[in-house]
Amino acid sequence: MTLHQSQTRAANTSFEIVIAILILGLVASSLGQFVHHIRNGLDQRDVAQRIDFWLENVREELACQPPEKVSSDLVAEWPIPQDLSQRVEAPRLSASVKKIEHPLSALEITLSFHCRLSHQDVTPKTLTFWMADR
Amino acid sequence: MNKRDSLRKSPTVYSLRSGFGLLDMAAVLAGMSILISLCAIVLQWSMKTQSDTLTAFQLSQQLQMLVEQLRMDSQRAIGIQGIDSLVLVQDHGSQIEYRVLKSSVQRSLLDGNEREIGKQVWLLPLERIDYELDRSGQFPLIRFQLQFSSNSQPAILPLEIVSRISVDSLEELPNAQ
Repeated sequence: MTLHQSQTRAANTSFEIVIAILILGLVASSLGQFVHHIRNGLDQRDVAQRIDFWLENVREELACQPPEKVSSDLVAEWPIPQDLSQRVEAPRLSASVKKIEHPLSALEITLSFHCRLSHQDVTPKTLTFWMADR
Repeated sequence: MNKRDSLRKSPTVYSLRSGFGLLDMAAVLAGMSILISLCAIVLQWSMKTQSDTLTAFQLSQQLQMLVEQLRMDSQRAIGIQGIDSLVLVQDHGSQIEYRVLKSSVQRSLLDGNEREIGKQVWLLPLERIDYELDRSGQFPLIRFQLQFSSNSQPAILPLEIVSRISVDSLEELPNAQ
């Protein structure tokens, strides 16, 4: 038999098998990473919603304070709930308190929640509200 | 004898195709079985994640609506009571009752004769709603503690909702036995 008469069916070499396994492994690993990112996203969404609820809680509590007591310093010392402080890095609450006269005499308060997630600064969540200057 | 038979019998015929040894085959099979198991786990995990994503999104929306409604109702309340259910008494004699049911919360609007005139349901795995009156500030506050079922999927941590009250003092009514 001459060489050209040998079977022409191409066989898989070990190298090809290894490459195929690597590709399969890569796809599985990418899918795993993707799922992990989705889980992280869900967790961060939950944290974001809890921050919103907490900012609204702070607004309600500040509204019960006499207006002359409301200041940036008071807000800066506001205790941060444990469930938030455990889930984000370096949580901090700040506020800007401005007195406005129009359309009525009131305090314009902007609360900002600063934190870091996965070692990165995130855009602060803010809540602006007005408090009658009674 | 035809040509094919003569080729088959020829001792000088070798195939250049490199085949697998038994050891190669065993190694490849072991690798494949590990990878296929891994793929199955990842696939199952991704399907669970997809289902959790939908559930979490729905829960988040339902929770947002419940919290907004609860704040709104409690801000207008003049009285509060509750053991089995939370009842917020409104100034025009009507009552709003929050009742925790199995995997849902029902808000019923009752008129002066305690007849139900409206109902709203949120699908949330809530276990109970506790409340506490805080009179330490200039105006009273109600602190609600939403406790979620421990076996809910995905797990939800307890949530505190604070609401100020528009009236100067809130009456804490005796609980109906």
